[in-house]
Amino acid sequence: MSQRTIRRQIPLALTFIVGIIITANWFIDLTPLNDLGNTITNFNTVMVAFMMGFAGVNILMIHTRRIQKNMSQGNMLDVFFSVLLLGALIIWTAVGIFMGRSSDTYQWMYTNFNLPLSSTAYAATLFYLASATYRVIRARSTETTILVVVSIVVIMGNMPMFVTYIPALMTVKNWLAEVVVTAAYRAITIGVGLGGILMGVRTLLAMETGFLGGTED
Amino acid sequence: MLDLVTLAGIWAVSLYLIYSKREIWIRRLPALDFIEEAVGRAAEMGRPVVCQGFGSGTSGMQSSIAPQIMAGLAVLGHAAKICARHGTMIIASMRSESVVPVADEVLRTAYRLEGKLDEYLANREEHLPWLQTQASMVALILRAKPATGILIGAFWHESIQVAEAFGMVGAVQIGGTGRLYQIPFFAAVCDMNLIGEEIYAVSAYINQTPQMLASMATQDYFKIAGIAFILLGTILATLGMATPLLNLFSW
Amino acid sequence: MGENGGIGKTLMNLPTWLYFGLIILAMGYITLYPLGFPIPISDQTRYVYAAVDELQPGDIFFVDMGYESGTIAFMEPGMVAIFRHAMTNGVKLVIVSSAVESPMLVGRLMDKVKPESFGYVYGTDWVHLGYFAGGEPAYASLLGDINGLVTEDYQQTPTSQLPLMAELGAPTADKIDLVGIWTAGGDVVEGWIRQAAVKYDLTFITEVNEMMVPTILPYYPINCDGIINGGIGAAEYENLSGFAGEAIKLSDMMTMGGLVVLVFLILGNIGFLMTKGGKS
Repeated sequence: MSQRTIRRQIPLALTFIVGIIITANWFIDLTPLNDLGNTITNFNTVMVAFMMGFAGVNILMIHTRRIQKNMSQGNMLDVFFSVLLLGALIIWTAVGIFMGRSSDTYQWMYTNFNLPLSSTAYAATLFYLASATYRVIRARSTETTILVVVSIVVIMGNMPMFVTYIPALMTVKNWLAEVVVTAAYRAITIGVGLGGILMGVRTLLAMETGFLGGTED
Repeated sequence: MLDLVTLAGIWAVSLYLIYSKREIWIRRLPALDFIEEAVGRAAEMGRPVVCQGFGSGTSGMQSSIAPQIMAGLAVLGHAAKICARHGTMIIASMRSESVVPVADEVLRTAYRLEGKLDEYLANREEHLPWLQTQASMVALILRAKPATGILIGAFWHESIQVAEAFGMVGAVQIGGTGRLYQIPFFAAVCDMNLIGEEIYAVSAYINQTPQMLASMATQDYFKIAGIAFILLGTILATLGMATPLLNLFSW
Repeated sequence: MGENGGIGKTLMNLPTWLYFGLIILAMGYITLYPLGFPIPISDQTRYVYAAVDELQPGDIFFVDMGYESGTIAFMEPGMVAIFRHAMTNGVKLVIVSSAVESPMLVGRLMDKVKPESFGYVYGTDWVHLGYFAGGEPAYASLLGDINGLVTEDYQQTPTSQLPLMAELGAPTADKIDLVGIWTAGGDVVEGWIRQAAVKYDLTFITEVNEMMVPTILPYYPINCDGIINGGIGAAEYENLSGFAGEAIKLSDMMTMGGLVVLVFLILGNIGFLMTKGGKS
């Protein structure tokens, strides 16, 4: 079998067959078809779970190599971070497998490690938003001046302190959100939906090959 | 049943228009034209290009945002070819494990087509780090100090963090997503933007085959039909006669 | 460049540490010494309140707790207030999670809601079914026949031993009186709107973060009956329902954070205009 057959023709043929079955399964109530569709969906779930496991092994390999490399170069801080990562990976996996995800130990680890870290990472968004607002939103032209004014009104309209004393701010903010923004978002939603359908048609017709690395011919 | 008929109808019309071999003109997309220039800038500065944001955790190739990820991968392939040609480092970081093997294939193909597969394989770990969190994505940008940042695909709240981190290291940014509430962030922060469905035009725009261009035009015909229905619905609703139309679309 | 240009340039290039530091200081101060700014109530929150308030004893409130730990600061207070309000009306709760992490957050949520203080018994008055995979097709299955999809709860108790699950026959949607979705993922809300509000015409409420609200507005108020607008919406609900909690305290913090951002936005623009004036 040629390289082209393995790299191109088989994946594209599989894409077409699986795509047609899954699409038909969504619309047509026919037991054999539905069973086949569900089997393919289960295949997908198993593959994704396998990939998670594979990713874990990959991290283990990469960081073991990185530890060796950094040890020989004397980068002890990097060694420490890699050891920390591998330690966390092994402990979480072991607790999850042997004690279960609903066990008190797993719950304790989740509440005391994962929760504060995730919340902090999410909360950091505020600083990036603040930085972007200050750096980017400038009245450079008529359009950007409108953007600046609207930004000020919306920020004030979201702050109870201002809305209490200037109730019109909430009215203006709501009008902007419910009329101007909603009109634009509806249009974009329709466009994105149609774009998605046409992307699907192109993928099934083997015209869309970006996910295989683009056109080779 | 009406939903199936509608979808089949859309497909049938699309196929007819795609294969009808008409001359189609599509407008320029400055953000995609800019990729070559942006990679050239990175080559001149001796700094890498970073492509980020392909899915998120459980939302990968198996979810409803897959078309957006595929659009992002098409851009990655395009940028990777140019980078391979110029000898510029390209780093593609993933947020979803299901996208890693696909991105690997995209990069492999791009480097192979430029005759530099060995170069890619020797530095594969650097080209393709799998990064799970937005914090590590930001850290990568601050460490690598790229000259160009490409953010096309599906994004969550990390969009502003990543885009702003690119801004902090002085990278030019090309952004694009179909996820509605991230569009304003990219519009504000990125130098060049693809808005909404424009990201789906990437392959057609790069390859410019008659069928691909026809599929773009087909999308616009359906939009015109959508506008017609909106106008019809507005008029009928104003006259209090919208019920039959509403029933038609209530499947 | 004149004097104006010099000041303008300074205003345009204030150091990052200054405004990051001011944000931390302002928010830290207000956390320690809350000022108690008044909280006006928006229509979107009032509609959510009305939807919960109209429920009768024994009605079923179906909840997708689809947020992860990052957004807990504003999702949890809204959920606590709404759950407590629903429990005063004797409403039964069915909790599922479309996010992998969420089931692990139910424990701390219920520690704050305290269902036992309303006389609620697990299995009879509320159930927690854990995570379900599969996205929108799974939403359709849950609303079609929940017992066909879910065979055990989060603690691995068979659903056949939970009396509340026996009340949910097929189609399950017919037994549900209110659907509430808590998530930071826009496609999750849209998927639920399509499956619950459009297909079964169920009353639908949601809490999302502030930046996501505009994406839900195209469905409001026809398909989505009410929206809790992140932390501010949660504070409004706490105020409205009388269950004062963490969101009211957060509201002061958000006001102060917003104020600093606003001040810097204005300063940056004043600087920009002054610099332009200097150039001209």
